[in-house]
Amino acid sequence: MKEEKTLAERLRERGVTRRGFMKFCAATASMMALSPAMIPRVAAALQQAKRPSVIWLSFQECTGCTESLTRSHAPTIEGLIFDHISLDYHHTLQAAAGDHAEHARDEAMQENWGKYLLVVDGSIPLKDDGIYSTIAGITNLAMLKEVAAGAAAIISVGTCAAFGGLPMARPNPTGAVPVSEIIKDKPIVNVPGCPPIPVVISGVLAHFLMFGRLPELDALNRPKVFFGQSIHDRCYRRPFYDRGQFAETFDDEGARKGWCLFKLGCKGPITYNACATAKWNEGTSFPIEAGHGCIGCSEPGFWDKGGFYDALSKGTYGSAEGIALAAGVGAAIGVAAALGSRSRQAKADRKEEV
Amino acid sequence: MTLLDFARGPALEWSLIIFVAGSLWRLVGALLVRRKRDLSEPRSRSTVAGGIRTVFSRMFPRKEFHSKTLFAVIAGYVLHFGLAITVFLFTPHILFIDGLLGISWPGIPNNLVMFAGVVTIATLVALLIRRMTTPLLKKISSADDYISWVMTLLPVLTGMMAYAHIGGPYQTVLAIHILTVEAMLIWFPFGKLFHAVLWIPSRAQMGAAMQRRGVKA
Amino acid sequence: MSELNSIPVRVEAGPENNHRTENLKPVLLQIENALRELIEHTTETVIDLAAMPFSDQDEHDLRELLGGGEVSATIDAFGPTLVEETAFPGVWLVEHQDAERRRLTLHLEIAPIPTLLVTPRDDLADGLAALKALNDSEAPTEDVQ
Repeated sequence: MKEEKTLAERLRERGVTRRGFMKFCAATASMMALSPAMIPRVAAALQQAKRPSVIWLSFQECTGCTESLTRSHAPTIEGLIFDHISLDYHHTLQAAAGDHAEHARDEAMQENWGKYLLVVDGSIPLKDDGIYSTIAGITNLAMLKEVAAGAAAIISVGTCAAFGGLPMARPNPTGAVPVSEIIKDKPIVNVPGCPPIPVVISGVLAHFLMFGRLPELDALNRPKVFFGQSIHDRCYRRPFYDRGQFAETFDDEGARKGWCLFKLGCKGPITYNACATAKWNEGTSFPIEAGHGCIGCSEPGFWDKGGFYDALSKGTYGSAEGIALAAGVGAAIGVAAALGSRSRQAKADRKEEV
Repeated sequence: MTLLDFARGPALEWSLIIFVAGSLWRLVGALLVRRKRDLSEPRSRSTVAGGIRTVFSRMFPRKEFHSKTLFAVIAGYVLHFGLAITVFLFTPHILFIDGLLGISWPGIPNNLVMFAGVVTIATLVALLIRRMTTPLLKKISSADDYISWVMTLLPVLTGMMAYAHIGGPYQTVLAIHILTVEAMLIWFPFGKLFHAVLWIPSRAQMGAAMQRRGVKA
Repeated sequence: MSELNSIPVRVEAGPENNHRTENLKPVLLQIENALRELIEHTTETVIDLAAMPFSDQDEHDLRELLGGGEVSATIDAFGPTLVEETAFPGVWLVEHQDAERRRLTLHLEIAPIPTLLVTPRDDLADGLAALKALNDSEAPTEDVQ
């Protein structure tokens, strides 16, 4: 039976006072990069936020996205928001198994048809009729189509669901595709990242809870508020880049001083995510701060964009041998052209002498 | 495949192939062509030295020609130094060459490179105006001259736009920058830009021929 | 593994300690404008320092410039919130933390008193009801320990 308590009521039940609720609203507004002037609106919206039914389908994935979201121990904003949704189906977090679990999913779908949120992590294999990933004997492809039909909106969590991710990397043996390649008639939000930052996942959920719709999206259907700026533009090591101070290896003087990691393959300039501002592990750090270049994990096809340790300005063309071969061919054509020229010249000279 | 993937991948591979093949074709073809036999009595046999001297002696015009050519010569030097700085002293470019050839050298701070870039563009524009307004130059200028000018300007201009994040999403402008460089590489062996290679054998050949006739050219 | 222990370890200060964004001056000007608005139109303003590029060094400089005032308070609701009046009356630094003392956000509030310090009206009604219940059911004083 679905409870119809609002988020505010549930928080009160958990001992969160009115002051605590106001603080929760302030923190949520800040997390979603809303102006503090919006805090009263956030409060009003959360006062009435009902519990949406959420069905979470896990396909070809590593469970990292779920791990990312559930790694907090004390009540956090993400935790509270995540607790508020009615998570009716989730392989890792649900207690039921086997037929019981599938039955629970069917029930949730029927009861909330047209209104539930579908969250997907993992890509969907298409090769050989999709047999490379099945749940309870049903292919991922079939299950996605079935559940998506009654969903209000779909959130593709993680780069695998959003853009294909690791399973889609060359040579893509299972024919993996992202959700958006299969479902064309429902609103889809992509929340990429390998994994995504927890606060980004819950920020999208919070937006849906509060305003009943998905946040503003960019050209790749990612929420602009979290994916609107590149890592490079908000990186604290940017002054070193501008001054031309780069670490050459992972243990040299430059690395110790925290210089720019461009030469060590940082893909910050072409990666759009909130890592440099929201950071990871509740604001502890992010890869660049820990001394490793950004690998571009929230971008499509990041596994196939050249090596993680090759600088961005390096080409991703085939081989130097090919170009050396071209040099040889060019020289050969030159010789042939010259010989042709020379024989014409010789003929002209002979004509002159006669 | 995105535009950037295309620019960094197959477009780069093929433009480099055409660049290398074309350059060697033209260079080898030019060097192996027969020179007209000089039937006069050689006044000097140190033609190699003569050739080398001429490569350097032509680096600055003689006093008599200053009034007509000094602006172009100085602007030319400013342009070439500007190009050298923006192309070879900007760290991401150095890394690209390192990836290609395995050699590298230290770069200079980015703001100095950008300053050089601005100067380069200004000089290019000044030289174009000169070409289009001076009656003599206007008459003798060909499509080759104008195409070579465009092929030189676009990489510098789009490179600075990418750096400053203007003109569109960064990935797109960066891809366009790389594509303009590739266009220049493809054009390079076949137009006036090839002077970058030919100036040495061209001057040397003339210097050697003059040396044989006893003229220090 | 004695060889591992014999490797000398040197802890170096991270580069972030010295990094400044350009946002300190604009924020100070924003506070000035907000204070003017408060005096002329009683409009209260909240500036979210977590929503802009603002480094640790910037925050350190800001706290030094703003100094301390007469009031400091700790609110214990959904984790601690630290409220400090600065040397400029009406300008408050409000740091919201969660139950594990991790920062949620840092606000500058330009108001006679920060919003969270004011008792919510509904809490007043609840308090009255509870106090009335206590007074009404008061047993003889000897039984009250």
